[in-house]
Order: sequence, then C-alpha cells, then structure tokens
Amino acid sequence: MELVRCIKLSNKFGLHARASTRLAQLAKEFDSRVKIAREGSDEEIDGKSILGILTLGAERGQVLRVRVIGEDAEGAMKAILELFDRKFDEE
Amino acid sequence: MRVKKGIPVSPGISIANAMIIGEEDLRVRRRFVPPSRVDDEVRRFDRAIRAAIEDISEEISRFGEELKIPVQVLESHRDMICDPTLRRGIVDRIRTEGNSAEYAVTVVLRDYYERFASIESEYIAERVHDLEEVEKKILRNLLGRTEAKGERIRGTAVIIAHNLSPAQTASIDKEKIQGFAIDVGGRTSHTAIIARAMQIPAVVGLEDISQEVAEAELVIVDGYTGKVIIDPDPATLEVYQKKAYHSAEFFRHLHEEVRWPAETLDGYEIYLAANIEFPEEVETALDWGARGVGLYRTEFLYEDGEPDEKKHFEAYCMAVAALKQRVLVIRTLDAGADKFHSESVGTHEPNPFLGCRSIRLCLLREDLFRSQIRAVLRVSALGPVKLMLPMVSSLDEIRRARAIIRDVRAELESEGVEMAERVPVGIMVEVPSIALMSEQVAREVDFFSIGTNDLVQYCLAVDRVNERVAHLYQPAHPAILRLLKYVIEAGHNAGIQVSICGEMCSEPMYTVLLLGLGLRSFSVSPISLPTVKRILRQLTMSGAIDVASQCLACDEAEESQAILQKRVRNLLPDFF
Repeated sequence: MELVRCIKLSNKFGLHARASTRLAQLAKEFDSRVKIAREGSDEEIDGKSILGILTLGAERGQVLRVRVIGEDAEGAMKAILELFDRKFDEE
Repeated sequence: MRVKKGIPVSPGISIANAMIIGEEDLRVRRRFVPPSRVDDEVRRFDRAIRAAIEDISEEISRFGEELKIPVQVLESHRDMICDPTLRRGIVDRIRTEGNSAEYAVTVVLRDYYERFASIESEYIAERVHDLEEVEKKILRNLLGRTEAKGERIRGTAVIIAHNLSPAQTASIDKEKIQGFAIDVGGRTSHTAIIARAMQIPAVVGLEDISQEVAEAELVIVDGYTGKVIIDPDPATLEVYQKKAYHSAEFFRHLHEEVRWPAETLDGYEIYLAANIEFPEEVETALDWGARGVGLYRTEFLYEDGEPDEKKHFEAYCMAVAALKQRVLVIRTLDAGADKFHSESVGTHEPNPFLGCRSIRLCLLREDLFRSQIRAVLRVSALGPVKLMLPMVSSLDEIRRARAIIRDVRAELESEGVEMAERVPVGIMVEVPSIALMSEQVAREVDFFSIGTNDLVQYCLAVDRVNERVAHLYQPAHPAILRLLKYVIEAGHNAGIQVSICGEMCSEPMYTVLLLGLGLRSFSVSPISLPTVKRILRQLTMSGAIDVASQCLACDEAEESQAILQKRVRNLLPDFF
C-alpha cells in the first residue's frame, strides 16, 4: 500500500535536531518505507534518517510531501500526521 | 616560576598538576581493501559504530543530569551515528569501491558537510560541527585511539588545552578537575560557560599556555585575576594556598545563603537580577538566587554576521522558557560597526567608542533593529519581557526608537501575531547627556538602568584600559556621585524603576554607596549574585545612606574613596 500526504510544518522551530530525531525514531517503528520531500521537489529523503531529514532544511511554514509505502502504511501515516499535529511535543 | 595572564572567566583559586589535552590527529589516507577482505572491513566498521555509541552513552551517564544542553547535544550525535542511511552509504562504498572503512567514513560525511553547508539555514549549517564530532567518534574507534579524557587523571588536575570540544568538556570528571587554563576563547566560550556552571576556576585567552606547560607540572589558576602561575616558588605557593582556602570557604558559605532573601538588616528588600549573555546561563543565574534577568546582552547573536529574526526569536524563547515567568530585560544591539563584516555597515572608525554604535547604528540600519524588535515583541506572548535601549544620548533617539517599536507592533498585529499587551521600554543611562536630561527622559520611558562602566568612562573622559590614565578612573568621583544621585532621584520622582547593571555593584565598597544613593534594584553577573546578597544582608539602609551622604559632601575623589574604604571596612569586616 502506498499513501501520500502533504503536511505543513507548524511547530516553532521547523525540522531542527530534536524534531528530526523524533520523526526518524517514529518512522523506524514501522516496517513501511517513509519518503519525504519538500513540496514541489522530487528529491526524496529517507524518513528514518535523521541526517536525511536535516538536509531538508525545512523551517516553519514549509510544506512537505510524505510518502509511505508498505504493509503498515496506514498506521505509519497516521502516527506521522499526529506527530506533526502535536508540533513534535515541543510546545 | 612563570606567570601568564589571560581572561578570568570563572572565579576561584586552584592549585594542581597540569593535565594537557592535545589536539587530535585523525587524518585519514586514501586506502583500499582487496575484495576478499570487504566483509571483514564492514564488520570492523559496525564494531566501530557500536563502540562509538557506547562511548556516547558513557559520556552521557558521566555528565549526569546537571547540564541539560550538552546531554542533548550528545544524544543527537548518537542518533546521527545510528542513522541507517549513513551506514548504508558507508557500507556501499566499502563494498563497491573497496574503500577502507576510515576512508569511506570521511568520503560519505564530506558529502553531508557539503549538503548541510548549502542549506540556507544558519541552524542547519551549524550542525556541521555535530557532523565533525560524529566523524571523530567513529574514526577514533576505527583507528584505535581514545579521546583524551578526564579519566586519565590520577588525583586532581588543572586542564591545559588549546581548546576543548563540548564533548571533551562534557566528559570531564568534576571531582577531579580543579581548574581550566585554555589558549583560546573569551567570556562567552563554551568552556567558560561550563566552568562557571560547574564552579571550577577558569582562565582562557592565554594564547600559548598549552605550549608553555609540561604534563604534571604544578600550576596555579587564579580565576579572579586571570593569572596562571606555572611551577610557583615556595613563597608564591604559600600565598596562594591561603587564598585558595579562603576562597573555598567563602564559596561554601555563599552556597548556603543562596535561598535567603536579599534584605538589609533593617528590612529593606532589594531586587537582585542577573546579567547574561546566553540563554543557557539563565539556569545558573536562578541557581545563584537571581529573581530575573536585568540585562540580556544580545551581541553574541551578531557574532557570525547579521542575525535574522528567527535567530533572535529562538534565543529569546529559550531564555523566556528557562525563566518561567520571571522578568527578562533584553538589551538591543550594543555594538559598533566593527561587529559586522558586511560592507553595508562596516566602515573603519578612528574612535569607535564615540562612533556609530548601539542605538545610533540601529537607527541608521532600521532593518537590523526591526528584526530584533519583531523577535522581542513576538516572544512577549510567552513571558514577561522588557526592551532596553543602549547608549542613548538624546530624547530624539528615544522618540524615534519608540516610533519604530510602535510601527513594528502594528505590523505584527496586522499579521495576527500574539504579543503581550505592553512591553515596557527603558534605556541604559550611560551617556552623560542623557543622564543630565533624566527628569525629561523619565516621563517618556518605563525604566532606567544605569550602566556604570560607560557612564564613568564618558563622564570622566578616561579609558580605563589605558594604563597611563587608568588611575583617573574613579567611580567615587564627586561628579559621578552627583550625577548618579540626580538620575536616581529623577527616576524615582517620576515613579519609574531605576536599576543598575554593571560589575560596580558587586564590589562591596560600591554596593554600599549605590544602596545609599537610593538604588533598590541591582543586576550583576550570576556568579556575583551571592556576594552582593551577602553584602546587602550585613548592611543597614541607614548606614548606607549615611556613607553616601558623607561621600557626597566630599569635593575630591580621593577623599570620598578614603571615607568609603574606612566605613565599609567597619560595616563589612568579612570582606576585607
């Protein structure tokens, strides 16, 4: 199964070290592959890689395209959306 | 015996043998392995990764919970080392190109360096330093090296180094380290902050101490004066042993007193706040008994060129969060054009202290000022903040600055940004012209903060760093006392808060004088807080007022100085 969603980053600091770590850790909990790109860009990075996420340089307000491929895609996407909604538990 | 002079950044005296922490040589040659050895090479790499992760866990557990920032830094390094993409990239290079593990690590990480550096975010660009640490940690294990660490020490030691990495500082065993003597750095360097937080004497900016000292040589670090004495003669050693004992006793007592109120013997409570340069210092300040931050110097944010609103905002957020609803006074940029490398502002000035600096620069470069004000107003939604304008010399400057602040507020309102309803705006009183206008000015600002260093320097026309005239730098000069009295009274008559920020108020003599002149609010460096409190708790307000009025009656600086010395010695025998 493959799911694609566009999400706007609304936490205060964007995808900085701590937020990137949380996202990568969460992605690793699922078997599905997680691919993330800046909106309008084809350059996807591995959502399980903190270094990859950092290279997105995504700041507050940036829209990201998240693609999840695999058996547990539905659960993975739901968890990722929730993490974005909770603003990475920063606030 | 050799004596070196540097910048004292953390007070106290330590006497111990030197332990030199050297720079590491982790250069890697371009090396290949034959196809038959590739599997072994991959296994060797995986072992190094596991060992590096263990190293970090050990550093974290040794560092404890006390200093939160470095632990977070170390944890992010661990996450980077565990990164599956990083491993995949390196293993691929070993398998397909036949690179040695060391070489593959440097090649793959170089690629990340470049990608990080190309991102237009200062924050991400700075993560390059984290990558360097990650690379070192892996290479060290591949090359079979160990990082020089505190555990090597037998007994106690003074750490001597050219520079210390955050991880090296973090790995230091508090029990064993007696002091730091470092070649590079200033008050705001990483080692300085950690040393202050750990309350270990430190001197930095010694230039070549790491070349001057031999391992295990006896060293004295004087964190009060910035002197480092190598191989002291017996007489000097004896003097310093006494000093070290008194200093340790003094600190032990101060620690017990931190939670006591800052109150005079006759019951006047004084508001004590801290001067800080970094948001990370807030915690130390609170530990030492600060009730808020009376001066947050923001110049450090301009260290790498002009900061954007985001950089300001992030730093202020951190400070506000750590203060937990206590007041934060943010001083706008207080530096000259020399702080900037960019052509747009930077021009050489023959006399920068009388040049285009601070508020003058901000009014000239409104864009620079606006991004700082935007950040301050935005952060006001999260906790109580006040704005303080430095080096103001006329009412016109205050009016213009306030007009800009109003305009920025309107702009943010139209963007729907949340702000506190009121953000008080005050000024630093440090230029004689504005001090003499205090009555008029007090009607247009919300508070005064007297900057004694500059006020004395501008008023007496003395550069205190110039040895030939330094003796003319006399804070107890009758002209200064009159001016201070006038400013304090003008502020109080207008019903605004008057405080003082500067190290002058942590010298016992001047604490008494300033209190006697009517000040009820002091802001000093975190480490000076307990001293000031201790002074206040041994004074009576009536005694201080009496000393001040005697000094005011003098017509020569020497005379008032003599009165101060005599009276204060009687009032505070402990301090002499």
